[in-house]
Amino acid sequence: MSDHYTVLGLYRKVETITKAGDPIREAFGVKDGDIEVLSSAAYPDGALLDDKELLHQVESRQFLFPFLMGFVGFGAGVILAGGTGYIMNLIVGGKSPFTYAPTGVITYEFTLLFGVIGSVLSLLYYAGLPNWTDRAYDPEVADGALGLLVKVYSKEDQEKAAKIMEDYGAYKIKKGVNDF
Amino acid sequence: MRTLKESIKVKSFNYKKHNDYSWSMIIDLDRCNGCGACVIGCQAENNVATVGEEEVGKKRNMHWLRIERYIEGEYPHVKVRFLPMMCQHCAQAPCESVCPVYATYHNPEGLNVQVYNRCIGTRFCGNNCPYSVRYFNWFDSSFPEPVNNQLNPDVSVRERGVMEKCSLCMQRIRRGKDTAKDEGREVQDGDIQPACAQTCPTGAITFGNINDHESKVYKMAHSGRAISLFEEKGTHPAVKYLKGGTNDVIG
Amino acid sequence: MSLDDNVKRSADAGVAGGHHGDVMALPEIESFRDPETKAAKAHYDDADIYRDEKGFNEHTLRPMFFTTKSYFIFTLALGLVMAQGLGFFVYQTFVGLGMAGIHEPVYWGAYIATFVFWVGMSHSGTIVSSILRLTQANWRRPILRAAEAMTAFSLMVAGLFPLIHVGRLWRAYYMVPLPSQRMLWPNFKSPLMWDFCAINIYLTGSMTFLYIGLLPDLAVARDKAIAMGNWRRHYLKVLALGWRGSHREWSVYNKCSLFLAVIILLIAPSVHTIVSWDFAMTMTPGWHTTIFGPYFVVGAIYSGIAAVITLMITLRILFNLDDVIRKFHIDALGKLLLVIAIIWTYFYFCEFITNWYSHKPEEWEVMAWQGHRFPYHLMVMLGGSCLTIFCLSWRRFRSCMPCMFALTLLVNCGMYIERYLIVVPILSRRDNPFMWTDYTPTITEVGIIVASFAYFIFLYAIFIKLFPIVTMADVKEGVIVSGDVRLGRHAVRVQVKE
Repeated sequence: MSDHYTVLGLYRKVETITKAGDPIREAFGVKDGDIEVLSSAAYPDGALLDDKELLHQVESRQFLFPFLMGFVGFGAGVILAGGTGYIMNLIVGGKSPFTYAPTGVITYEFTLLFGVIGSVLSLLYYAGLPNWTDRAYDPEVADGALGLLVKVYSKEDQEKAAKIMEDYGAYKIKKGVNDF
Repeated sequence: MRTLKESIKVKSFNYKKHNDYSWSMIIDLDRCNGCGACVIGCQAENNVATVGEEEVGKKRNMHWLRIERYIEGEYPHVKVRFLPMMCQHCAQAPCESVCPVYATYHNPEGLNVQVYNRCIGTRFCGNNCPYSVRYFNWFDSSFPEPVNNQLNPDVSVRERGVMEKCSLCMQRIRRGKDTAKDEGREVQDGDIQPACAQTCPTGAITFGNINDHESKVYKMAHSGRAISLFEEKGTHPAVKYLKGGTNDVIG
Repeated sequence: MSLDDNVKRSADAGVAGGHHGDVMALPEIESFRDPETKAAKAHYDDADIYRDEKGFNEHTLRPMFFTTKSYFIFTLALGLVMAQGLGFFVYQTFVGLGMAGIHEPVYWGAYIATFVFWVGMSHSGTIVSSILRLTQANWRRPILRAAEAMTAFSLMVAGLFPLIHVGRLWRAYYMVPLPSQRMLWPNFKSPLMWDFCAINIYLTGSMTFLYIGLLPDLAVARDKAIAMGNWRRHYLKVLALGWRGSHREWSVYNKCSLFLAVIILLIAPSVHTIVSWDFAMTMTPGWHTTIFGPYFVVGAIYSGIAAVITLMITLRILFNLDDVIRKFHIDALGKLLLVIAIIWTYFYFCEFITNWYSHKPEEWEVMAWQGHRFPYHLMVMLGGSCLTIFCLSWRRFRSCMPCMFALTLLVNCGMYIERYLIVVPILSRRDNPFMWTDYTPTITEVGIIVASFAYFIFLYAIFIKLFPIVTMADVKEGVIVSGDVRLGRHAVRVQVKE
């Protein structure tokens, strides 16, 4: 895999950063996945950057994780509560080895447990976490700065992108290699 | 090939069709005079711990079989009635299904069995027993010299923290069945006698196989005097009582 | 190096640029100070901290990074209380459960009542948090973390009680479905087994919920800790998972929070329903009622919200968070508490009147026996319903911090006694009149229960020092998505909802 270069520009105002996104995309034909906005709080989709299409793709698949895991949990619950009870077959209280209501209770709980696990997995998978490597980032993002992060494939493009960002009001530029 | 539904049915119900024995105990309330010999007989047979005066005062006595005394009427017209109470070995035992670790379950001969080694002591069974006949080992039981010499080797001594209760003298049932098997016959009346039945001076307690229609217990259970305790609870006990009331024991 | 020094240094170096105030492009806050706008006053009755995000970060992280001497003394005192409880517990484990006051047939006593109480406490946090998240209630934002942490910690405390209460602690693992040569398998028909599953699953779920909620704030705390060279950076780096706050992360994260909120909302009521089924599934008169499920759930939310209010006021005072947790929040929570109090009172009455009217001897005996403890009942009625509903109806009362503090404590005292009345008197008056007895807790039980409260506070105190206690990301989001609209002489706060 060839190297890529990144530019991170920090902005202070929402208005400024919204203007900087499009020129950069146009200048290099940056794909949806190669441009990012870093912020300390969740902005509504498309408020800072027009990447709705990509996110729409992600979101339409994200629910599958808890959903499918829920099915797994359902199966686990049925097997655990009903199946083992049937196999082990010890009679208690005149009840049949397979009982519907207790199996239902356990199945409900397990479905939800696996749903929780699925939700977390969906977050980790689609957000690309955990990633403890040194990535393009600036601690000032945590203090309210907005970062525009772009990925390009040559040194010249990197310089150009930095230039555009500065022109559009970035007060700080950070350049990096292979750390998108 | 049986269907799932059929096999579930066969496995769960109708023990009585598939097993030769279904143990039952009949207690004649008219014959009970409340002497308490059965309590001592049970205690000696089953290594039931003695807990001492103070603990008994806190209602922590361990008697698997206890004589409940009820007083009717106002002084001076008082009648005292006795009710020997032990585990009723319910066919649909409330205590069994609530145990999270299967420490108590129903064995194929209709007995409610307590497995001490499985018990973790949640005491849920005790809470769900309407007869309050399950006992908890609050402390380690002690059998100081020379009491330890009379411990029954057939019965395990229970650790602290487990539930215990009347087993209808399981060890004697085993021995009776073995003897009968050696002699190549079915168990008959009188082969097996739990400690309480053996001790009872008035013969109020009878034990036997209710599947055998010639047995004493079968006849007594169908005598018209037979009742189950807390019948409205729907527990279907294996222990049945013969109604008393005609005979004033003390009065 | 302190946080303040660091701020100065970076300011001197010209890195930070100084003008952080304009990041949030907020409307002029001064306009809200207009004395004519009452609603605005409720929002902004203190110094406004939201304007400056850096200042806000430092302010809300201050309880985490700066520790006073009195904190150490306080935790030490808590440790001593816990130590005595541990002593009692160890003694009880080695000598036998007879150290507790329970006996035949009151097999469950104060331990189980306390267990129910703690499980109940755990219900406010996540339920409140997920309901408010789903309904996008704007005022929820600063209090989420504190409420969710309460859930996790009270569950951790609650989970200890079944262990304290079992006869053979060293065999308690028999309840775990581990395939082994011993051929031991748990009985999934037992309500206790459901309870075991539900509590563990709820603990997993609420911990996850808490952690996922923490994630963006962990990143903020991580950056601060690295800048300060604080020792917390080691675990914060790992736990923050390399969070950068990219839009993709936020988008996926919000979706995940939504999933979790829905799932938790499904789990939480089922947990307390199952706890109530520990009682309702038995055939014990007084326990065997269908009303127990919803009654317990409402009771749980009730005591939980009261506890959240108590906690909020405590945090507000102890850590000078009065500009984050405002009177307005306590007022809003008070309204919620009022609604739940009314629902709970309804259930309380329902349970009573059905028993009273049918007058079935075995159930009425239980009722009458409970009636012997009239002072307790008075406490439940006052704390649980009458007094609470009356007081909470007044706005002036709801925004009076000491009054709310006292009232919510009273509510929880009432609810504790209610749990006690559910467990103990019913067992004292079982079906078999020969076995009727009474029960009083022993010093062992009291010691352990007191220690459990200390343990809860201890966990909370530790948490505050290790993690950000205010939901910073949510607060910032709230600032972003809200603005004001002028209607004549009034300024109205509006919020963008998706």
